[in-house]
Amino acid sequence: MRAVSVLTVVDETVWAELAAVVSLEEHLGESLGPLSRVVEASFERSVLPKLRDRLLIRYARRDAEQALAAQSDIAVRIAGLPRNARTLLVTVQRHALDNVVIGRQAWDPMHDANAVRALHGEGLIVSFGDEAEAFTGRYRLNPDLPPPPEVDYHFDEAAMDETDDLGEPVPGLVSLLHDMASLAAALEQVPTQRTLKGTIAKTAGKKLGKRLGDSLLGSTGDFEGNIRWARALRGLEALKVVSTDPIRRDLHLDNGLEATLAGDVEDACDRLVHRLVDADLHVVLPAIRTALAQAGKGAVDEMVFLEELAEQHRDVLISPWSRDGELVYPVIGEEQPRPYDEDGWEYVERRMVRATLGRLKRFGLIRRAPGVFAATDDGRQWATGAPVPMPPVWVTGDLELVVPPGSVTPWERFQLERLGRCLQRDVVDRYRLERKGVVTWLSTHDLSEAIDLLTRRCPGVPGTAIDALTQWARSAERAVLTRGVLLEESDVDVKANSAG
Amino acid sequence: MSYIPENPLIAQSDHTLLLETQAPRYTAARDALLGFAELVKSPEYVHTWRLTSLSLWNAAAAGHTADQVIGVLLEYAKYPVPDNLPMSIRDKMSRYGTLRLVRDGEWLLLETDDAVGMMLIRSLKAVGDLLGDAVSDVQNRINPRHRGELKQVLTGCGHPVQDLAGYDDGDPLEMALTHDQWSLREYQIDAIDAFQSGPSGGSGVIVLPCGAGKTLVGIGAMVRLGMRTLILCTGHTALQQWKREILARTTLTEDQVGEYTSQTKQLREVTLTTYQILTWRPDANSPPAHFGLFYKANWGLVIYDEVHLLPAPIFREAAYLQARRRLGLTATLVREDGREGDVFALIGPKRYDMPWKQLELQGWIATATCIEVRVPLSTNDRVTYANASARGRMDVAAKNARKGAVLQMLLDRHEGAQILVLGTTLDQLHFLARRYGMPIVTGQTPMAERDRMYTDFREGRTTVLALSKVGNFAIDLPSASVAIQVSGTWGSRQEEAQRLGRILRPKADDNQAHFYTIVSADTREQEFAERRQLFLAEQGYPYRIEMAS
Repeated sequence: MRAVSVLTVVDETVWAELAAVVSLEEHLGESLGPLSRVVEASFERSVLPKLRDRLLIRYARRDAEQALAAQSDIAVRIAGLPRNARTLLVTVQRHALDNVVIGRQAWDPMHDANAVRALHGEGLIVSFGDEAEAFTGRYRLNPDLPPPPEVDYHFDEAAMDETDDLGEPVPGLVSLLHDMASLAAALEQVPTQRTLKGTIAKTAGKKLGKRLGDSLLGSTGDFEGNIRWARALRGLEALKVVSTDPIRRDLHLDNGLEATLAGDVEDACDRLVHRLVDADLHVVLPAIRTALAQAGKGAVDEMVFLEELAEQHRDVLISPWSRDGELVYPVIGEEQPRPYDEDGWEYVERRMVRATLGRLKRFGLIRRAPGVFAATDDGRQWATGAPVPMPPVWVTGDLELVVPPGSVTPWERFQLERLGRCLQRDVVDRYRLERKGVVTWLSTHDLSEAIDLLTRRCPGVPGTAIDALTQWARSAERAVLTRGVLLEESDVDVKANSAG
Repeated sequence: MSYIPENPLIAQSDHTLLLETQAPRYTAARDALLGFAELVKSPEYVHTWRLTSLSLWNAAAAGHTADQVIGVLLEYAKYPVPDNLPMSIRDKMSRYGTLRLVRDGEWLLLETDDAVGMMLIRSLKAVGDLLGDAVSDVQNRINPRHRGELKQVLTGCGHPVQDLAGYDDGDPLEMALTHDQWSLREYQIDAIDAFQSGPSGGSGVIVLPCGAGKTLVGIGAMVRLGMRTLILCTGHTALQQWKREILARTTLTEDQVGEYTSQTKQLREVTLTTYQILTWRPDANSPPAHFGLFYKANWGLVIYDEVHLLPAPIFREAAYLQARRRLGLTATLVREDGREGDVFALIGPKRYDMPWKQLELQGWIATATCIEVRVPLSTNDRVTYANASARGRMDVAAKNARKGAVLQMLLDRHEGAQILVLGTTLDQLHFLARRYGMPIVTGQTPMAERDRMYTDFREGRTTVLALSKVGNFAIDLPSASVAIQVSGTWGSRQEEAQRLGRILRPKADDNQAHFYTIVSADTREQEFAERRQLFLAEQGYPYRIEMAS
């Protein structure tokens, strides 16, 4: 296999049209048919600048069939594992963050060694740490693994009525997720630079304001002074999906946003919580989430919750190691092992739970009072995952989208903001579908996905809107440069290359 | 108040009102909004309305109160109404009626109930010398000559003046409608009633779509008043149409209806003139030569046709005609120059409004189908296009030779119908006219020739007529049911409205009109045409795109 860039045209007359602008032939390689040619490395340097407004640049994607085949293959491999390895795999998945797990937190390097080897042998986990840290260091999980089964918690006895002293909620994560989605899409469209002081340049701030439909930011350009968008940028940076070029100080939207935002609101919220909470605390989250869900509109008695958690699934939080016939907490280096007993629970797990509750309060998911915690509206949505009725999005014939609050998920918001330009952010948000947005969309998605998105949320997409999108896509796709296409290399080619 | 799904109205903090047309209470909410908000656009599913200072003053002029307006918003709102809206509505509406202009013998008085408010008005620099002597803390004498200018300036400063000073009656004129196998439609009578009602009735603007019979409303108002009337039209063709209608619909005779144009200077009981002749000046430094017409007779009513096109010099003159009753007629209050406030101050508040789609639903205008046909360029043209400058590209796209075949196909499709072929690129239009044997009217065609061609078309002696930009304004060709645009100033909303308006007169058979646009695919022309589509969609006309093979 080799990765190449391929130039594809919609019909053969387009070759002449492109050749009329710039001499092409010397920069094109092998033909893949009358409408496709592999491009040489010189194409990007010499030809692309002259054809930039005539070419759609697209990145090759793994198609759905390939993804399904990979998942089905994984299922076969899991089924072939010994029982202890299957059990360990579930523990590993529960401790993983961003598909990375630290061995010493997930298993006992001595007693679970065989199971770890089995997982490694099947390609379900891959070590990428230091060799000296074998079995205790970092392992990457296979991205096609199915999610682990839910842990069965019962916190009914911890449920109680809300108390009067529960504090006021702070702004929750759902609005932050939407703002992060909007800002990420804006950063993709608006070249944004930091000043030497590290702030966002005013000109860029103004452009971002216009793109975001925020008239105040659009007029002042004071990004850091805008609480809403500054918070969203901090969120994106915490997710490590926005980086700053150290030389040019440009902000870049990196890959990985989808890993947080995709799915329903509660999924996105859950992933964001996992990313914002320290890695060693995130195993506590499912238990708290379940307690909040089981409390419904009431509150949770913290003491009872902790007791029930210890009784039911203590080892979900930390998997103990076995040393000299005693259960101990995981050990680093020559550290003295701490017994995995009730005192340990008080000292380690209880503190972990309390620290986690403190974080969740800061994120606006719970309200707290001494010995009690309860979900906020956002927290209830995160905890219960119960379907919330979503008002429809309206697409009008003049290509506007009217997006009421709660009508789209954060990931859909990101997609809409890529597809259209925000005209107004108010009681309801308004967007205008634009050719430029469709071109941006087509660089990573197919048009059918855009139409699916609209038809999923809107009770009736006018034919005029579909027509406009289709025509824009058709006109943008007259000539497409696809980067990262994997080509099978025939034996003859391989031999020729080796001989060369 | 929280989320109420069955309600149709979403009030935004920037005074935009969105109305969901699928919601159960849509019709009631729409009818309620008509009184105090302006319809901005009406595509399917969500219509956009706006509360502006002018719309709220218009509402106040019509007798609505701020509490009623806020009550409507609260009653139909789907989400909580932003806090700033009620406050802003109260503030704006309270301003109308605060300042009143009343007659005081030979003079006028500007009066208010609030001495501090009057101090504020006196301190406005823009008001300058327009205020006369102070009569009291709350009254100022005004020279009647400054009546219009003062209202214009104060409206611009956000202080609308309620003009209660009344009008001078013009010379009486005996006339009646003929009612010979026709009668005014109900909405036309409502519009005339609205124009004349209220304490300041007798001045204002009536907004009706193209094809809805604005001329008849004007004639109806003129007959109702029974006074000498001056009618200002957009051009010679429109003037002739007004004259034809007046003679056909009223008891007035030919010798009572005069034309004041470059060729004839007739001054009669009803006199028709054009904006061009009124603003004509012998050289750049001279004043307009014919403004005297306004004062040559004791006019009881001045009608401004297509008031959204009223030229700036006429505005200035209109400021001196405030003692005359005046009626503005238009299809849209939106002016490209943003001088809607001047129309409010000098012609008068909006008295009546009826959206296009409502008239279509009632069958008063034809149902239009809008179709865009995209024609690919030939390979040679595409290469030429790729190498051309931005301006050159538009030219290549407009003159796409393949458009001819599509035109032929459409002419065949609608054989027997009355068809208008509209274009702005003269070379192309002349070429197509020669090729398909169509008579053509351009700016170069002499007036007499134009009139003959229009009459031939109206009376069915010709079925296809090519029109350049001259077809954009006020030509009455009621039998036209198909319009085919072969080139255009695609970005212009006004051009689009006028061209569509040409074919909206109700049709005898299926009441269907067809509006085609032929554009070159994948070119700048297509991009510009997209703006045109937005306009059509805003007006609630869905359009379809067809690809020519």
